[in-house]
Amino acid sequence: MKGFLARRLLIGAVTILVTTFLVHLALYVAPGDPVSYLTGGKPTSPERIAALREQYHLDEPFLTRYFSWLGGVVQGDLGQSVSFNTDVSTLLGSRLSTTLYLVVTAFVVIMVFGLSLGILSGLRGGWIDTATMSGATILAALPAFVSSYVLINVFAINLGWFPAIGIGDGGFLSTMYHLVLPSTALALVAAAFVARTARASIRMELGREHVATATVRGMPRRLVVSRHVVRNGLLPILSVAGLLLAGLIIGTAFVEQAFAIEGLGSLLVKAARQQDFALVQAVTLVLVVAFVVINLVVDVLYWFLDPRVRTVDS
Amino acid sequence: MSFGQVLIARRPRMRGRLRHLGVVGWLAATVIGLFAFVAAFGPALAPYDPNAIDLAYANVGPTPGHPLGFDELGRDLLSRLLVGARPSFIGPLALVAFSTVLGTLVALIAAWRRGWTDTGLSAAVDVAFAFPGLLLAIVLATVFGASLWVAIIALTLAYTPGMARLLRGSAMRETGMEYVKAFKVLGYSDRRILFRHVLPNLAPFIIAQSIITFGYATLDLGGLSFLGLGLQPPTADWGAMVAAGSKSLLQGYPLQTMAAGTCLVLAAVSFGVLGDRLARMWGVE
Repeated sequence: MKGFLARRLLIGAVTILVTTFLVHLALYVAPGDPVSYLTGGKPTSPERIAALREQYHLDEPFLTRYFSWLGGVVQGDLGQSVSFNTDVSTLLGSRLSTTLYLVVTAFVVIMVFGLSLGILSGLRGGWIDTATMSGATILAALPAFVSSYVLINVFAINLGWFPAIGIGDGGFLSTMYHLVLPSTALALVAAAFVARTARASIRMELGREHVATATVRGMPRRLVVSRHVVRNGLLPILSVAGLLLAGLIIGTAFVEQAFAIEGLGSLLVKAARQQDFALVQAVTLVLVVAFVVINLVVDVLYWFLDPRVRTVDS
Repeated sequence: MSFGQVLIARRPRMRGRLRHLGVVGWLAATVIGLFAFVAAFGPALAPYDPNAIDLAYANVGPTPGHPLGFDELGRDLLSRLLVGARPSFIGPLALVAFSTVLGTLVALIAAWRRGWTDTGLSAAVDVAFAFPGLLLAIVLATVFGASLWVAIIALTLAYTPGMARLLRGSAMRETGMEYVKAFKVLGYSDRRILFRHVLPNLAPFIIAQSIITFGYATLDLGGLSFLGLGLQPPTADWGAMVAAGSKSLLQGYPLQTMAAGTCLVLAAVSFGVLGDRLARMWGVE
């Protein structure tokens, strides 16, 4: 386990370094002068421009800039946002928790509806199966930026059950109430995907020989299902869970835009539209770190659930 | 898709089975045909100037002569939808064409050379696969400014690895076949074997896959336009129209957002269904 974990951690660290380096490089070779954005195109005195260049480290060579940025990151300094005119870390702080709430509630929706309905359809068949699979086929094609507005229109504007925008006054219950529609919109496509994958893999496991053997030996169906069918059937879900969660995190960009939520996703889009380099770098860093951590957790879970990984890997 | 059409026409096996598309398959094909037709002739079909602003008609619903009513600036909604079809179609078309050609090339080269070339290409594909396409599009939009072409290039970079990975397996199987060895013994050039014999045999797989990809491309590019990172105003594709109508939707006029969203989803579903049917029909699932 130790060697396995160490290797995964190393890969994760290298991934973070390589991606942030590449993003830096892309921004460095960018056409156009960031100073012209900083001054808003207004005529500015040379002293003021020099001060701006100094403040945003625009004169230093590329590698120095990258390493001083990296050094700053380690100390919690992510630089200055040009478009918001404040520290990037201040901007990230408040929005990080909002996006985290959104992703976690969406994940719960996926697990409760997608996974359980998928398992149920696989085990039972019949009308549950037909209904779930036709529902999943339709939902799988509804992108978050369309489903958000369908939900707003039906449940906020017409029925008035849930608020259409924002995340409330900050209290936990108010936040959850405001997040019902956004997290549903964020979860739909992934939930449909999970339901279909779970159904297919449960069906496959049900037809396996060891399941038939266990049944013939007189093992109670409850045990056959929980020990042999569901446990093995969940592995394919786990192996796509990393990509799925990464997709959820990126998907917040659409949902936060639609529901006017101040989170990381909407911040990233705003930063890109304003060409705010420092902010894009910082949000990208947060996202890449999140992806690496998620993959690490998935790998560790796999290590526990699937003994075959251990023999290959250690 | 002219490459595909030529191949289908030349291969009676593929053409003969088109009859077995089924009702749903034909329905999907019809929607796609309609989409392509409107993309080609939309500006000519539009009954009014799509950019003519008349604030007196802002958010007015359907009236005689204006079957879909007006948008938030009083522009004729039907005309805007018809004109918006072109960028909504051409964007994904370019994206699918680029990523299919690049992905096929990578897969063919990896399968032909094997060894180190294959290992290197597969590793590069794995790394690129892990970086989400939307994030790449956002970084590139920051660097080069937001535009439809930046979005297309970013998503091409994001789609190509997936395409290459999907095709690599079939390309491996095909290049390992006896007839390829026979051609090599006969002294045919690599290029001739690959492009005259191997590629046509892979065509059903490539065509079906690129049609399925077209569906995803429609939604992804529409999503980027929705975020303001794709096509820039005043021209609007359907994704941008979903965003443009959102304020009116909150005030109780959902028509623009819903109409544009429906067009996008309908197009995406049709491509998915048709690609799926073709893949099943040609036995290349």
